[in-house]
Amino acid sequence: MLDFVNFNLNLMKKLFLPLFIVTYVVILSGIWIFQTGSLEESSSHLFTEYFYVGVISVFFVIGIYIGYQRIKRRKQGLPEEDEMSKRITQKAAATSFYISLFLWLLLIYIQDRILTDIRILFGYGIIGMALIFVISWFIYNYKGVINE
Amino acid sequence: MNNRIKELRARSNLTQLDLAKMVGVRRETIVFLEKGKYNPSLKLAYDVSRVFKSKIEEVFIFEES
Repeated sequence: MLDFVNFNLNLMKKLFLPLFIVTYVVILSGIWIFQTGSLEESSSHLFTEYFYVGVISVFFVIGIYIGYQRIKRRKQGLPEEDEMSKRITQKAAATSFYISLFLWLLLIYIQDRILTDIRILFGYGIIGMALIFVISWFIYNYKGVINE
Repeated sequence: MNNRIKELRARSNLTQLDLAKMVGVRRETIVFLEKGKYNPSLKLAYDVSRVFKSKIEEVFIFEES
């Protein structure tokens, strides 16, 4: 009985967590866009808002793709994750953390000079961190992880 | 580290998907192993060698760098 519960919890975690996160981000983005009136012509930060929407859309597509791949693997009788995918994620996380430190240093440096609105600065920081992680992940997925 | 997975797999008439299922990893992992882009854990190396009924050192060739 306990094994059955554990199995279902693992299945939920592996298959539905990415889909849940994607849905959560889309709903929040929808609320942000339609409730606050961002993306209106009169908005003072139109470029920033289009940038956010663009990046969120890219993450949405990637999330759907990853969810689809996991379901496909499950149907083929393969694991959704294995030691290599975990190692790639860990390495991408470590690399993106290191690069993100420099991103935040840069943002702090330009804060008084170009970007004065602290909210936009945080937005760029968070979106930038996510982008760096995704790019690192794709690079390691293409190059592989040798660890020699 | 080099390996003979591709050669042994062809000899055993196994596809990458078959081997992936037998050792419990994703097909991409087998692709990366064959290309030498990923060094497996000891457990995976042992599992792959066992599929080909060989010793680890017959499948994976360690080279001093």
